[in-house]
Amino acid sequence: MSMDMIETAETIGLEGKVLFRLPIGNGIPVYAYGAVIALAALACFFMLIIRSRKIGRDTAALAGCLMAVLGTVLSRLVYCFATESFLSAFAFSNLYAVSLGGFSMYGALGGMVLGAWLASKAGRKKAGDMLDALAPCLMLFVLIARCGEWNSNLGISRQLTEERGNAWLFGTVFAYTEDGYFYYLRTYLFEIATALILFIVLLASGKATEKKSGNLFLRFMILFGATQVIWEALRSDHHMKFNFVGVQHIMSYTLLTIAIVILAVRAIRSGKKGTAVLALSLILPVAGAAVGLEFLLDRSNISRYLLYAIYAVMMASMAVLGLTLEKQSRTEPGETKNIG
Amino acid sequence: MKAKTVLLSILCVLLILCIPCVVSFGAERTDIEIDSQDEGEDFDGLFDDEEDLSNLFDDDEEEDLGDLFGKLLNILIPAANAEEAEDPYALPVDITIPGMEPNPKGYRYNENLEIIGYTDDSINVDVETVFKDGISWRVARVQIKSPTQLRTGIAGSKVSGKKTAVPTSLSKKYNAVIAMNGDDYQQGTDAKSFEYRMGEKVRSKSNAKRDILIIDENGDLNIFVKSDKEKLTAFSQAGHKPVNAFTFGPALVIDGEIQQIPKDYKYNPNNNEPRSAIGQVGEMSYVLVIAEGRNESDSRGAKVDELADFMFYELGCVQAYALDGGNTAEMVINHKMYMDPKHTERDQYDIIYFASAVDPAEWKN
Repeated sequence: MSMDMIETAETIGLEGKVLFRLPIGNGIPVYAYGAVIALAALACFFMLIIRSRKIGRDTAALAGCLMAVLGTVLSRLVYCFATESFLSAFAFSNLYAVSLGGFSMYGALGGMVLGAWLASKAGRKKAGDMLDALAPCLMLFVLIARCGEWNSNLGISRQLTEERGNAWLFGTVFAYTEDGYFYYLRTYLFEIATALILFIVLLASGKATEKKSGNLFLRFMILFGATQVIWEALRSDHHMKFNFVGVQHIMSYTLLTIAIVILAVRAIRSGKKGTAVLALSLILPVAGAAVGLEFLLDRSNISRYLLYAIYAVMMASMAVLGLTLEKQSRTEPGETKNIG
Repeated sequence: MKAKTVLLSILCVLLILCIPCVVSFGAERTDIEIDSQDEGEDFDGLFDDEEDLSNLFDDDEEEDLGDLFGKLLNILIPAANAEEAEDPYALPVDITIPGMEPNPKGYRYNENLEIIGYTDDSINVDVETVFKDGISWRVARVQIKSPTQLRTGIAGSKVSGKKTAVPTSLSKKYNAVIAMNGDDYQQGTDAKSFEYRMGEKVRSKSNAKRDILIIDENGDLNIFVKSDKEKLTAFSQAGHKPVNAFTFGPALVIDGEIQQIPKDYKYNPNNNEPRSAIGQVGEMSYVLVIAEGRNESDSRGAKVDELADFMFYELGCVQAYALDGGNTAEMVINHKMYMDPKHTERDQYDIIYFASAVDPAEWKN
């Protein structure tokens, strides 16, 4: 990609805006959107240092380095391999042609978790302790990073219309319009609000879960996964979609499911089967119901408020089951087992 | 604090400070085309056959023997240019410019107050619903005075954008007299497809598995089976330019001959589905057709060969081409759905529409 192609890139909100150029070579651009991501990463790193009582600052600092690299790399790779338009025109050179745009939040989070885990291994610390320290930091990252989507093509819903009963949102801060004709919900605002709430909740949960290494991270997986399923369902920006299937939508439910499975297996092994069996047995039906809801959202005239309310109840139920299992696991006797 | 911690922290901060130089766009840039011809490992089966056809329609062509021959042809057969000829009903060929506001009194209704068409000095539209063999067909016959009245509209402000909107909203934005879904040109894997919107190139790659429709400067439908490059070359050398182009298909009728529908063409051609198609019956005379289906109506949907039969035998099309079907298929007149009331509008990237070219000042007074 030549500098010309970067210079002439159309800017959308903060995306593509060049803040200034570094006086190196032809002048390396410093992007506004990237600056917001960097700010989020710095906040995440410093929070991790503050929370490094159990893992040690050395390990936290090493984790920061690995997270910065792996978060960026995986964000790009996950995007490229989970996006139809990139896969259909696949060439290895497109992977590092970052001026083409395209990064994945789940890729970034996955890379950061991987980096933290590797650092815990290198520092001979419990992976569970590392991930517990990281959990609220990830929410801080999401909270700030999502701000970079202001007035961009990311984080918008299906069109708001009178027929759909959501025209009342026109003119509010929640509605975005580029041309005054079509209005869309700014779904990233909901993600920002959720990230803030989860950041506070996870910080407050620290004491309750600290006796069980890894449980705070499992809480993060449950809460973030459940809420993201709803917000990804609201999104209609065609970011990382195969036809109508949103990859990050599936990843959100997978995150929730993995946490529930881990906790359920633990519960069953310790003889507490009731909630565990219920939670496990609901995983597939809830996934099926979510697929059904997506069809209804696309093809029926049923009130969207009702459909999303059902979505929220389903995910809330799964989250409650997951959190119940997590609470049960804290009172299990014997040696705690790390999720790392 | 230990030196190791300080050094690692500094390294971490430096690494993070590199991120703004790397991350420019969270979403994929829509103003450039992903280069699929870079060197790289060839993954069998992931690619369709493709060629870059953009040079066929570029204004500034490089001099070589082939181009000299093309230029000679252009001199011998001058291109028809609607903008140069006198055309009192000419509308600007620009995606950002809508048609003229239709005269509300131009819409015609039957005794049951059901809409049956629209008439003004520049356009005549007749709509009807034909129920035949278990299929409900929504048919619009359109006659226009200027080829510029056959237009496309998009949800965003740029053809490269990825915003979507419902067809009734798109119809209002563009002052459409009558509109129908397009080919949802940003949906799917077709970074290789051949797409133009109001003279603006979106993509210009062929696809050996898909048929292409080009609407030229004369408003004529030109269909190229499996992106036939020879015919496309001849088309461009005859001086024609794509105003709007679509890659969906299949071709239904070409030059007055009904086509054999390939059984393996994409989009489930052998089963009953909602379908949409555009056809041409004569000079600036067109049809838009929807075959309703799924649970939205009592109609069973149509197979693509049934669609071809309807376009050819019932409507007399000399050219006809299938566009997007399924839930995307929708016809809109006077900014309202002309569909079974159970149909749910789907957010789409684009519409095809016919616009009035009569200045509203003429009828507002």
